[in-house]
Amino acid sequence: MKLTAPDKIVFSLSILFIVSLYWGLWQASDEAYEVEIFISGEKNYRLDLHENKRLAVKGKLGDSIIEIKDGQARFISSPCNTSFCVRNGWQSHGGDFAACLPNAVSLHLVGGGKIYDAINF
Amino acid sequence: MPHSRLVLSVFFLIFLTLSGCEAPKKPVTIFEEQMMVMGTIVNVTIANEEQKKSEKAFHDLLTDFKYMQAAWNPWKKGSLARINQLLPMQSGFSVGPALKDMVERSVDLEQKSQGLFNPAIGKLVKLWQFHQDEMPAGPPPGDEQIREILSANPKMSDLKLEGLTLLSNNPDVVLDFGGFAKGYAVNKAIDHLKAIGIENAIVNAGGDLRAIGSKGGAPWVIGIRNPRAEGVIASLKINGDESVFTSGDYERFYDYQGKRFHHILDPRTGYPADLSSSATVVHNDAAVADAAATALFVAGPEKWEEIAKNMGVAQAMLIDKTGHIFISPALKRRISFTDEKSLKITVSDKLTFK
Repeated sequence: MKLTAPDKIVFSLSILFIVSLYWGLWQASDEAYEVEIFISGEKNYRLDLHENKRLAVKGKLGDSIIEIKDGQARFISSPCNTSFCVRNGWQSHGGDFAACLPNAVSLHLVGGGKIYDAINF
Repeated sequence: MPHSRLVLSVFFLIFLTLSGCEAPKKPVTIFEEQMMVMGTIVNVTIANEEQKKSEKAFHDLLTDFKYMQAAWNPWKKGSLARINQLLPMQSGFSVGPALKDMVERSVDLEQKSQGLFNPAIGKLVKLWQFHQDEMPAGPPPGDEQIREILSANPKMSDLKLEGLTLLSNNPDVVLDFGGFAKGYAVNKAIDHLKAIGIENAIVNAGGDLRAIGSKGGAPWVIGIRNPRAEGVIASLKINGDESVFTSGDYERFYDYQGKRFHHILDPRTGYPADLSSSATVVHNDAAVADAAATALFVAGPEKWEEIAKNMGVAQAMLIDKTGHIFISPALKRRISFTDEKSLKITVSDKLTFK
């Protein structure tokens, strides 16, 4: 059976259709949509990652400043002396985690396809 | 008709392709909660269990961790503080079964680590003020004070256990299980989860964790944080029962007059160990992983393979002060580095197990 030009067009469009369906329906986005903020193990905030804001979260030692911007969250400052939480930078994927252990404040990103189930450090 | 036959064939192909992509019938349910205990944040993740069962398990673990926190604190009123109070008497006294087990295991691990993991140096930890939750502001202790403690040579083998009776031959032994208690506690937590029929879980105590089972048949994926930059440096898949522990100089430290002093002390010098940035150990026993991560960090690039071998650790990674990564072949085979080309990696040819 020899393919004619219309056959080739239909065939190509069908393949494109399948690929677009695959990307549209089966590829889960790994971008998170909410951030949960914990103080001393208690969940205190659950915030939309697309509502840009900065907030001061009072922990054991003082205020940790957390910034939420364009679907990401990060520690801007914390009253610990290590600043490991600040150096962790922006978190944007479901399951991402950053914590200021001395100040007992942590943030967890919720939603999207998780890349990591746990972070070792 | 050949055209319509071809079109039909193509749509049949689409149908077959899409029907093959059927979504999983039963999505994986994940329970996640955290608690603040033992001076750190403990995350508990449980897969595919009923919510009520997971909640009860979490509260069981919370109660247990709180007990361990009180009992194993060397400096506040509790079982270990009582032992530290009685050790200088140099005569026998009774210990509880849990601490007896911790002492026995620590004696063994100290010997295998050639003394680089040494929970008997509590006096030194206190001298540096790393025994308290808050970091000290400095100044660091003087040379003479450090030398005085080192000259007494406190070590786990100074302890003698007969049944539940403990005595010390060295009045300068003060126990601080800081490099071991977290791993031991994580083991206890996982043992409890298993005992109540939970087979798929992660207990993550401040970044050091043990994972069992899987996530609905898919392996647990663990990210290992970069000690010197944003994000993760590597990831690891766990399917079964394994612990991943890291000791790093970035966890607890203070700066004094432009110099950094971190909390992992070298029992040989009395000062913070200065050869490594981090040491990561993967092992099926969280207590061994915890102690070995400390010992390898202290050992540094020259000695880490020898210590790992002695401690029965086949999977380990050490990052030195310059960012050079040293890794065992068994771990290199299964770890995925985020940007391997930009890293300097040396695979050990000594750390092979038959």
